[in-house]
Amino acid sequence: MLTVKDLVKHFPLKAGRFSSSEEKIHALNGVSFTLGKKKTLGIVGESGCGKSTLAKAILGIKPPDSGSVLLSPADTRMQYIFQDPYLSLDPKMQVKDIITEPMRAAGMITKREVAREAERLLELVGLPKDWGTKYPHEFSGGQRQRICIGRAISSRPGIVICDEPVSSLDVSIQSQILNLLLELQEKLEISYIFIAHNIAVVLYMSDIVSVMYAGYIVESAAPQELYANPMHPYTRLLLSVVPEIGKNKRIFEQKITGEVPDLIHIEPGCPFYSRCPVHSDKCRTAIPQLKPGEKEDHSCTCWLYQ
Amino acid sequence: MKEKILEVKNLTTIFHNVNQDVTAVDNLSFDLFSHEILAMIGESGSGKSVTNLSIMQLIDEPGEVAPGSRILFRDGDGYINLNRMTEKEMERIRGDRISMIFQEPSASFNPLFKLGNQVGESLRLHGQSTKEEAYQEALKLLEQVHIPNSALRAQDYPFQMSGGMLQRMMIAQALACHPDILIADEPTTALDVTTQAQILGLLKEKQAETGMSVIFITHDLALVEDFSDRILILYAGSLMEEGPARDVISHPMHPYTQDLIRSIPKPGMFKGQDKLFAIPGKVPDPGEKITGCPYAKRCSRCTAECQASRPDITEKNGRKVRCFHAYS
Amino acid sequence: MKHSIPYLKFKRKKLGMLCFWILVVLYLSFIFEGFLAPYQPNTKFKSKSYQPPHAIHLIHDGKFIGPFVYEYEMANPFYKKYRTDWTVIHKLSLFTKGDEYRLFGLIPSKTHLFGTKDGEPVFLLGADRLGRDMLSRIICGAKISLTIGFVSILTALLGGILIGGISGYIGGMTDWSIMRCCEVIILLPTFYFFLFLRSILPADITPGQKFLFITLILAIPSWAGSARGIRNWVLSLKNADYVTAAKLSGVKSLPILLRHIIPQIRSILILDITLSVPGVILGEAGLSFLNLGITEPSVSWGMLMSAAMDINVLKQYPWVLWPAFVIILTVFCFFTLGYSLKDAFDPKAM
Repeated sequence: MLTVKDLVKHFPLKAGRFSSSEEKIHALNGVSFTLGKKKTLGIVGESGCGKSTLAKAILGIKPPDSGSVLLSPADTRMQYIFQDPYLSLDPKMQVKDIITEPMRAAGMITKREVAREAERLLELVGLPKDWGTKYPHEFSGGQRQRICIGRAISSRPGIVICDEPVSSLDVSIQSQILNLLLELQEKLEISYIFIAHNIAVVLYMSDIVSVMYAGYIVESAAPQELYANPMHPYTRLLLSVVPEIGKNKRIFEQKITGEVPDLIHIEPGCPFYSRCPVHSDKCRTAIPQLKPGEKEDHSCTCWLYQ
Repeated sequence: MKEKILEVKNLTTIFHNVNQDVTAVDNLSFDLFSHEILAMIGESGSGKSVTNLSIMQLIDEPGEVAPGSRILFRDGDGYINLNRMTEKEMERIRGDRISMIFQEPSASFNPLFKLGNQVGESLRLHGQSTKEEAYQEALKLLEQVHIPNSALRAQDYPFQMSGGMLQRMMIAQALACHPDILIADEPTTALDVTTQAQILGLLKEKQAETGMSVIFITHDLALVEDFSDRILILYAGSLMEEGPARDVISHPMHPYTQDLIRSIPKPGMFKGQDKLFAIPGKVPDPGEKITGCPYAKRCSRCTAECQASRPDITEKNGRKVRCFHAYS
Repeated sequence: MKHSIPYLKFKRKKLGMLCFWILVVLYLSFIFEGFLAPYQPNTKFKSKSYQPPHAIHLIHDGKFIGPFVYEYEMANPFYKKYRTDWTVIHKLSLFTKGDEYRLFGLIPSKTHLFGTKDGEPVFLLGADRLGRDMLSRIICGAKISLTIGFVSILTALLGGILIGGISGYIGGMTDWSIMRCCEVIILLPTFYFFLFLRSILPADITPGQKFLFITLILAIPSWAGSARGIRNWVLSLKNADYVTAAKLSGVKSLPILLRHIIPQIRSILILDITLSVPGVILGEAGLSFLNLGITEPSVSWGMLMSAAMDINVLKQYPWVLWPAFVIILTVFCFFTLGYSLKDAFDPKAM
């Protein structure tokens, strides 16, 4: 239902109107995946890995330089859930107008039906249905994120892109929102692209997980498989540093070398080369393609498995 | 025998906002021992940051540290009450005896000065060295926090640094005067997970080397289990639970601690197989009137007693808990 | 009813509150001008030229007889010197009958707030060369001086919102060109620009037309400033997450601008108005002072001040300077109110 092929997005580094710098930030370097109905694709990676650029390219907010985004005709509507619920609700609008805005814009309801639809949506996202006449500042962060979710699902989109939907919320609220998203997926048959930096959250939410690094998908697998048999050294690194309560993991003793990759001055070879504990000379010269490993549906871009 | 380096007694900090008074920290008492890492855990509105700003006497209008609060800091053989210090006396303590590092290192450096000069600045301010000596000392400090090419990087400006490198710089700056206490306010929250692990490692290493005490503030309970010696759990300005880190995590006594642990997603939990526990409700609003236990509304063990009156702290086997129905 | 935080913060600002109420009184005074002013602005008392202000007394011959004034007697008709006649008294009373006027421009009435019982003119702020009551003229002058500020700033803001909004929202080359034009206008020395524009106006226009033209002249330099400010706000708001959310939902550009962006800058607009009005009031006063703005028979504060242009007049009859104090008071009130509001709206300031 959603097929993304070879998305590339490079941002020119411009100092001003009259600058003629040729340098570019290589944010996306050819990303492909498919997403099925009622499925969740999880995307995990650190800052600068291109996960937000990917979301914006798919939505057309920042159209890609090349590559294609193909949607099945039934799912032309896509919606987006932002990271910060304090910034994504218009402070001067009543909640009932915010939550039904996509429906109004799509001509699905008239102004008269706003109040009734708002009640239905508020109930769906677990808020009291008579709160439609309140303003965003009267809500807490978690409640605001519920309103954002209500707005995103109101126009019955086929696909909702969630970009770090819980990372700005209080710890005790995060699991509420995650469970709400799962519940709505069951009820409304939505597909999600779930983007987060926390691999534990992505593993919990997804049907398939893609690990991104420096604008590439470096590994892709079902969450159980990825957790049990991580192939790419970067995935292993991510799993080794994610805090895990009750396991005495001593993440502060992990040996981690190198720095985040430079996306402006691109060198040939694997972008993870400088940080990779198992690199060989080959890694320096060329990037391997995303290739299926021994198991089906588990692919990885690493010379170790080519 | 560990000695107390800081003893906070009945700390209460109130913000007199235009529309209402908000009690950000409510009668909080705790001790900090030498050579220990004390983790302070809390969500928004828990008062964890305000507590530390109160210790540093950095609460501005309309906030006020209640005059009865005692913040006893060990000075030689005796203790001095930081809440009675004049601003001038506090200036000598801040950055010299007690240092702080923050979540956003970029906001803590002046963008117009070279990092090398800023890192050694506190040495100069506290009158220990000249500008040249301070710079040389800064170079040494940068090396100690493992900044590669430190002599070169000292010539850089803050915008040229990644978040992780800047956080290292800030740690170097905080360590310059060999403080007795380092207060780290969410120092890894803005960082990536790999960088977070590196910064935690650096903090642990420096703490072991210098023997300073660290107050580590975070919202992430999972980070501190093996990183810190003791844990304080704060909620809505009150202390809920206190104890040795490992005990608190493996045998939480307060329902809030237990719920928090259960609601954090762990790697190895999958959709369809596991269901993440979700705490109902929300964190109390600032200034919300709470008569009973602040967690009562969300607690599964809540009874009429919890709604009506606020439980006192009970102490047993080095553990403290504020709950009528604590797990044993 | 819960009050918003800016409102509560503003209530704490004692001086700002005071200025707010002074302005309210000033604006109310010109609405009730005919009633408050004892005389019509152009009622002349030929024998009272440059009569000094009357002092209100209560006790005559050791007896309390209520408010009254002593009569002034012309001592030197050439130099317009007056002497108080301590024997002749004129009692003051409320709601006396006098000149006919129309309340709110509609209801004909002869009742004035106060006057003398015997019909003798009373000048609490003195009289001008033609024997017209300064107090009445100041009250009537408020009409033009205070409205011209608002009308002209509202005109400027309308232009500013339109041009700044388009400039910021479209961006790119359009934005760049519009902003450079605005900068040119901002760079022009304002007062000389007023003079230049005024000089190209035809001479034979009615007072109504004159008021309109002067309003527009005063609006021109301020729209450019407003446009720049609004453009910057639009620029920072158009990438706000909720604007992106609206775009993704298929909301069109104009509704986004009107529904999501302009409402956010409401408080900025209020500030802009309060801080720009005094400039326009001063501009009008300046033009009228030079006899290039409002002229007889219309009355404005600046025009009244032109009587004080001659130092000899000023020396002998200092009360002709009253309009200047009223202008200073108004401008001060607007600025103080503006800065108090600014603090109240600023979430960081206490």
